Amino acid sequence: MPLSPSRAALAAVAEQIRVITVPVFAGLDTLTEATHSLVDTNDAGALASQAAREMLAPTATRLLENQRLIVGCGVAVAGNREGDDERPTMAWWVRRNGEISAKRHVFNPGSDSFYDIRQTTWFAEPRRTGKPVLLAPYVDSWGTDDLTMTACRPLSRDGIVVAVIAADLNARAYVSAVERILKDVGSPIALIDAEDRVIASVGLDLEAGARLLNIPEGKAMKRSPGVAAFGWRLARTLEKPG
Amino acid sequence: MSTLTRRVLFEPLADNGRADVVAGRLRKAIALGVLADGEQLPAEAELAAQFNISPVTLREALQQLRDQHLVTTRRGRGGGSVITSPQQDQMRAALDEVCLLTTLDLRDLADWRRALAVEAARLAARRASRANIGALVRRSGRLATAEDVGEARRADSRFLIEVAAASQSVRLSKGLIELQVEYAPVLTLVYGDKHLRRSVADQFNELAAAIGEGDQAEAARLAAEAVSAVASAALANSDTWRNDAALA
Repeated sequence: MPLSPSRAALAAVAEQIRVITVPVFAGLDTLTEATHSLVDTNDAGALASQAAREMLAPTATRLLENQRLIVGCGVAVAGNREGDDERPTMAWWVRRNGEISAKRHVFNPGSDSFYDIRQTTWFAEPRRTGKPVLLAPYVDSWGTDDLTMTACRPLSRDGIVVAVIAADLNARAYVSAVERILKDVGSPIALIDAEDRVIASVGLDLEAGARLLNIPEGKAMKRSPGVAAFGWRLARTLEKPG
Repeated sequence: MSTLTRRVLFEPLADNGRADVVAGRLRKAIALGVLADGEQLPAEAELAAQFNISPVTLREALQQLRDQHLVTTRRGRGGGSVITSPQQDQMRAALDEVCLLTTLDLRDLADWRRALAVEAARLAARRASRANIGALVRRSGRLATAEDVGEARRADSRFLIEVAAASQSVRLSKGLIELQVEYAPVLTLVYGDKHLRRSVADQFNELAAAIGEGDQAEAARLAAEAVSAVASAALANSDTWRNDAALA
């Protein structure tokens, strides 16, 4: 039976996860600044215009060129909150097979491919909490149509969230990087999100997304203190006595 | 880069694809409501590449659609081709499509749909996030309150696609997105029946609850039931549909 990891070993894991995560938010800062200056000089509504997209494009492109972990980024605008007819929209860029291009999502509610960002966590949660968020892997139907992780933060003006700045990560690369970090611990361990769902694990028969509370072994696992400030924690099985 | 639905709709044609074949495909999608009024098509260069045809052929196809007032094209920056078809007879288009399917085809489609839905439901019960479960509850409600067959068809397909998203499986999601296009004519016809909409909506609602509770067996059972209810309705009506189509 392998020895339980020491507190120092767990702290080292937490630190290594922070190291791969912090640059993403630093990148979001550059996009936030660019959007901020647009908001300052224009109506929030103008963020959705073609001219605004062209002003943001260089910053978005640079972010995609410099951080391989980021595969998409952009700005989602809240739309007119006063009426019921709130029509959010996005300016978004992706890097696909090494090429960077603008991506158009479908915002027509009558469409089969309608991407209703008001219902997505990456758009709704920063607006609700006023805080940055990093989403554990999820399937982004109508967005990337793929397994995705999204880093996002709100942009406010006069106390109202007028936009959400976001970046999609290469979820597979991120999870693989976390698996490598977890492997170094030398005993079974998982990284879990704030809902107690597995992000990555080694030495355990637990797949990504599995809700620990639904699994008999999961309930008994010991959770460590926070990792990377998103309510993420490490979880490991308790040593059997004897 | 277009969404997955569009990649299914705009699947490459065999070499020497002709303009009228492309136009026919787009016309069918518009008639079924799979491409909606006001929806913007991808840029011409991209669309041509996806269909694997020359830009000239694509332009010919778009011209045919413009001549039939199904599409409007705006030139210049931020322009593009937009679907303009507010009054499509979706039932008629669906009848024409379904009549090309034999009983064997209908069963085969239903079997495939059931296989995907059941596995997605089972995995979703194990893996769904709170956001997934909230989305499932919301979407089951949309089938109950759908105002026409188009809305009902979309609500049904998008519920199952959300179950697949909750299962965290990309392949199951892709399979159900493809089915959204392929099964569209069947759903359009069966959901003329409002009772069926309500009863499937109830099953979807129970399925969302089972997923929320982490009950894999119950989730699998309910998913199978809901898919079978639609499949049975389709088989029961298929002769009538063929007669209706022949009479028209």
